[in-house]
Amino acid sequence: MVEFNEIDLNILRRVSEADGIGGCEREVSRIVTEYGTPLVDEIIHDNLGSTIMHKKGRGNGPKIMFSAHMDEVGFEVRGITDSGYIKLLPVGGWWGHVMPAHEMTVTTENGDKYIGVIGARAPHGLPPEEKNKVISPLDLFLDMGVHSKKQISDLGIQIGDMITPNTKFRVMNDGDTLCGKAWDDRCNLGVELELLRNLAGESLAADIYCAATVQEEVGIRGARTATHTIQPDLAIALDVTTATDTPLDTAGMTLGGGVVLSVVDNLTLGNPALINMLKDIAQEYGLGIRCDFMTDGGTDACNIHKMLKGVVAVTASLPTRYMHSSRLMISRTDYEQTIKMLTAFCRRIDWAQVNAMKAASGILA
Amino acid sequence: MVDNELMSKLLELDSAPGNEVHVAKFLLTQYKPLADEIVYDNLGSIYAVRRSKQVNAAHVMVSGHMDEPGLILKSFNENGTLNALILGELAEPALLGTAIRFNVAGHHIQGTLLSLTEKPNAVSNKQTVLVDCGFTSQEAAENSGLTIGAHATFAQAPVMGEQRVIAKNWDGRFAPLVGLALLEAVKDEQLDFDLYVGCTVQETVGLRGVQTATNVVEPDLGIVIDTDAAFDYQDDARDKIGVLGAGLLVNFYDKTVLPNRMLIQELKAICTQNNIPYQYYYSMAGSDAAWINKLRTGTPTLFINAAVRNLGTPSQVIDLNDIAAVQQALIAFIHQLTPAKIAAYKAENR
Repeated sequence: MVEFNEIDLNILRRVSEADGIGGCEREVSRIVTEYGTPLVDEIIHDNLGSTIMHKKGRGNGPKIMFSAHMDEVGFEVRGITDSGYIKLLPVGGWWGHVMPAHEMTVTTENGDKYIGVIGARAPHGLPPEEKNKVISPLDLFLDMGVHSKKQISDLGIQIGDMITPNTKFRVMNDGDTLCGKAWDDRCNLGVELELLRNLAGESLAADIYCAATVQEEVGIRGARTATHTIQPDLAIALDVTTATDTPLDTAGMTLGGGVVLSVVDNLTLGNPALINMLKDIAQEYGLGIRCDFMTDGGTDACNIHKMLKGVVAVTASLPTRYMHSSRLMISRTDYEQTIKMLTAFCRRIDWAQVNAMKAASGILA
Repeated sequence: MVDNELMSKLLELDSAPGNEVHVAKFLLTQYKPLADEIVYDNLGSIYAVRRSKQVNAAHVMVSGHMDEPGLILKSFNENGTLNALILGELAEPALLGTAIRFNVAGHHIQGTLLSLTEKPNAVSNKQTVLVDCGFTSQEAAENSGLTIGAHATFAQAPVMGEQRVIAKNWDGRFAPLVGLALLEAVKDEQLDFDLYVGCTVQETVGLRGVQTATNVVEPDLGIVIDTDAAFDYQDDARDKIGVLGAGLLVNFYDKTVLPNRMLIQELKAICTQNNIPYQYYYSMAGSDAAWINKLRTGTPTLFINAAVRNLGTPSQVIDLNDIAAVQQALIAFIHQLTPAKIAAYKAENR
């Protein structure tokens, strides 16, 4: 038996290039379902579109939930001007700084795709106060290269249609850095699928539920409905965290140093015994591991851990450069190490371990 | 299309958050002849239920809120004035000198809001207002029947125009009115799903009643009927949306909920088939739909809303044609709804 499979970069490429903002994750969930179906016993859903891959255990084991969200930050068509420009409504957090001159894809109700470019001003003759100002996303617009409202409507584009970056997946020049859109949080859909590939055919004590959730970027909604559907005993939210290893950010969260465990984020305190178990596994397999203490931001874990009667939980993240833009970068090393750590975790988690984690919270009977 | 008598009765009622009992009692009498059953949550939200003959029928929840922004009495002052706390979102510029009324054991005690400072300023940074009901001393105020915790609302009487109606509480009375029109329209029909039509409490103080109501109703499909701010007249409006008289609002985005896309398509198709005017709208305000949508295992949710000018003030303006459009579309939607469609809405985003 191979302990860990060679990763399949096609999975990452396909989930990255699929288009799916909050409430419109269908393209992504169909890719997840396509890869996941042969690897698990059943695929279940909540009523908002979260897709949950269930690998059954030997029976009566703890329910372990992994959560990665399918939605990316993007826009909806907010309005169409008489000249055929599209006004943008951000869905998820955008900064005007990273938008102008980027290509975007409009997806119509029928699934037709049209590419436009976010318009910007030429710098020529602009006063310094204009040049130094960041333009609000609500004031930017998509130029479809047409000249009238009618031309837009002839394409089938309507108000409310989805807009996402048009970015192709690319392996960068060191062979390890992976560039693409939507790594937040699609890279962790890859982690879930690679995890299930590693576990395929194995008999485990625990029931493994890999959830691909909806609507994280707009208020962590799918994590609620998926948690209700699964009713887990333990959950690991898989997300991304801000890398700070560029000339602009020098706090030292590097790409390539291994998985990042959130001891604390703005909305969740990680279970200490669960964190220790993951650290032990990392040490055993020689994997890098970092601890994160964030004072803003949150992940699916924020809602999962306090739902139902409470769920033992932590967030494991991949450091990511250029979050909430058209092009993000992650490290293949971090990706592979996360998959290895979680594979080993699934092979060893059982009721004794889960009860020890509850005991770490003072639950002793 | 709009029942004028029913509308007048509803608009005259007072229903501050946490004290929606006057509307709830009125709705109970209206619902009874039209419903198989009445259900409540434990905060006071009320639903008329039309049961189907199907086993394990799907639950369809048609809901909006019945509370209106108001005040709650905090303390008495020696000079006979009162301190009250704002409940919900009131537009500050509308408050100074405005008429308000406490509702004590069925009778009104009228008053107005004073400035807190020499310069006109009706609201403190702690959301407190100063009320003058004409009492000359603390003793007179205390003997009036008012007690700490008494609720007040705006006191303006409705202005019934031919086309537009001005009232203190469209935000809070729109859903009761539209819900009753739906129940009346389907009263003799056999439905293939259980239909819950009703109203939530405490929306304006933080979408509270809808959370408890959703756990009672356990919906498979949610339709929220609500009012949204009109931006059709302000000089500085970013987008001219929510145009009065231009038809119902197709909300494709709300800060707290992303409406189900197949439901939006269905609503637009129904409007087109029936010549019902509609307009696109997006909202940054948030609504009851948030919790119907994300509680339990999730519920596909749709808005059928109307635009209102001057929300949060005693003079909220609505267009009767817009109410008619909402009622017509809602009734048509329920007529065309089947269990198979409900299942399809749930599966839409898979």
